[in-house]
This record gives sequence, C-alpha cells and structure tokens, in this order.
Amino acid sequence: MMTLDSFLNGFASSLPNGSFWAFGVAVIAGILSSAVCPCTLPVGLGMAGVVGVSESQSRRNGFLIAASFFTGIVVNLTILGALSGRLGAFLTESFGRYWTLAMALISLAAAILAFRGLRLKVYQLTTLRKPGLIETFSYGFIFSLGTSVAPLLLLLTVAAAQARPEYGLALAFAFGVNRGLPFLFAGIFAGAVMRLAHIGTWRRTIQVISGCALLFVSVYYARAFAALL
Amino acid sequence: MRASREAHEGSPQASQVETAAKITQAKTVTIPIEGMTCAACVASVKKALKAIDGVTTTEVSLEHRNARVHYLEAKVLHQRLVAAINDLGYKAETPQTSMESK
Repeated sequence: MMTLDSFLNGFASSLPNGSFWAFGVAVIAGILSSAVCPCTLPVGLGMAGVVGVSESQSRRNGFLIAASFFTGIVVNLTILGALSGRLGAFLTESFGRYWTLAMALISLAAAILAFRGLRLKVYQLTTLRKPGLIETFSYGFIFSLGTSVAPLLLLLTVAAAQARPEYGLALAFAFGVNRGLPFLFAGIFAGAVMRLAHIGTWRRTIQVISGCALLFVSVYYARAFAALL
Repeated sequence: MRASREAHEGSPQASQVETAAKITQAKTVTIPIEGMTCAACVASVKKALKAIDGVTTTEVSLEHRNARVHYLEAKVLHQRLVAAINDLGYKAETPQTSMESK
C-alpha cells in the first residue's frame, strides 16, 4: 500500500537537490495530501455549504469565499515552510485537542449562521452584505494548521529544507497551493450550481442543506476531540 | 520431594499461578504507522485501539508517526492491534515490544 510517507521517501535522493523536479514532487504531494486526509471530504462539504449560503445572499460572493479559504491555506503553509524547524509543536496531542475543538466550534458557528439566515428576509440578508472573507480566510488558516503540518514537515525533512529557509518556503508554497486547490474547486463548483439553481426559488433549501453540511463538519471534529480526551 | 514432583507434572496450582501471571502481565508495543496526516487521524487510531478488549492505554504520536500501546497479553495479541490500524486505512508495521510485569 502506497502512503504519502512512502511516496515522499521514494524521492529522498532528488528532493534535497533543489531542482525543478523537486517542486513537481511538492505539487503532487499537496494533491496527495488532500486525497488521503480524511478531513478533506467533510471540510470540502462544509466549504461548499459556506459558499452556498454566501451565494444565496449575494451573487459572485461564493467565488470570493472559496478563494479566501484557499488563500488562508496557502498563506499558512508558506509561513510554516519558513518555520520548518519549529513545526513539532503543532504535532503534539494537546495541540491536536485544541485544534479539533476550535474546528468544531467554528463549524458550529457557521452552521448556526446558515440556519439563522432562514429567518431573515431577502432585504435583511442583502443589507448584511458580509461575504465573510476574513472569517473564511481564518477558517482556511486554522484548518491547514491542523491537517497539513505533518505532511509538510515530512516533505521538508526529506528535502532537507530545514537548513535552507528560502527553499523550504518555496516548497511549502508549491505544496500549499495544491493542498488548497480541491477546496477552491469545491467552492467554485458549489457557487456555479447555486447560480444555475435559480437561487431565489431555492434559497431556503440551499441554506438548510448548507447548514446541515456545516453541522456535519462540527460533529465530525467534536467526535475527534472526544476521542483525544 | 513430593512438591517437586507436582511442579514437574504441571500441577493445577502451578498452572493457576501461571495463568494469573499472564492476566496481570502487561506488554507495551510501539507500532510505527504511516499515513496519519492530522489530529483527526490520531483520534481515529486512538479510538480504534481503545475499543479493543485488553488494551489499557494508548499514546498516538503524529510527530513520531507511531502508537505506543499498553495491553494485556492474555486478552489480545499485537497482531490484532496492527490489524485494527490497517483496517482504518493506515499502514502499521511490525511493532517493537517490551515487557512490563505488574
């Protein structure tokens, strides 16, 4: 069985060279990391839910929301790439407990906001006009802090990048862009579906579905938190 | 001399003592695990191991990519622990064992 660990270890001789090929490996590692991480699916659904809620309030906001979440992931991982030698603190079980709790609470708050939108009339929703860019950027930032540190650290270790911060930063950027791409695509797709679905007619239905998706994410992380106690 | 003969013939008392020793004898294994990416993975592995009868405590480390499991040998074998982790989709390797007696 091929794991991300064995995939990266297979390039142990070429990654430290700093060649263009090494960045290709980082790109694939980012995509693989999204593919193998069990959090990708629930948070991807949650992201689609957030985009759906946003799109139902104001057209085209969905793409901005998805891009904001994606940017949060990329920025976080690029910063972590520069800090590579100090990533161990994010891999402890106690940090994991706080992180799963934070993800559960943030997702719950987003779910409540999604359901609350059902009680507001359209003119009240439009006056809110808050795409939530900062909030979704923070969500992406926090999300990647917990889900991407381990594979990123492995990538940087195999590439022997800890002693070369600029190389680690570049590798981490390449990794981060591709780690975040599935969520960007999920958001863009969800936004497109919402626009095609005659939002006015289906607004409340979309908000219910979006709220349920976010609630699912909250429960997913709450259970992980309980298991880590 | 009589007591010595009973011991050699595997007396009921001797086997009872041996069984009692096995029940209380805890083992510790460190199982290398590949494929864990985040705290949710750690939680899944920990939950699966704790659900096995005979496992007393587990410590799963994302940083070191392993799980340290304390278990009662009479109730569960380390192969069962490895299988439980593999069933989750991760890759667990042959553990290194150490013996602790209680």
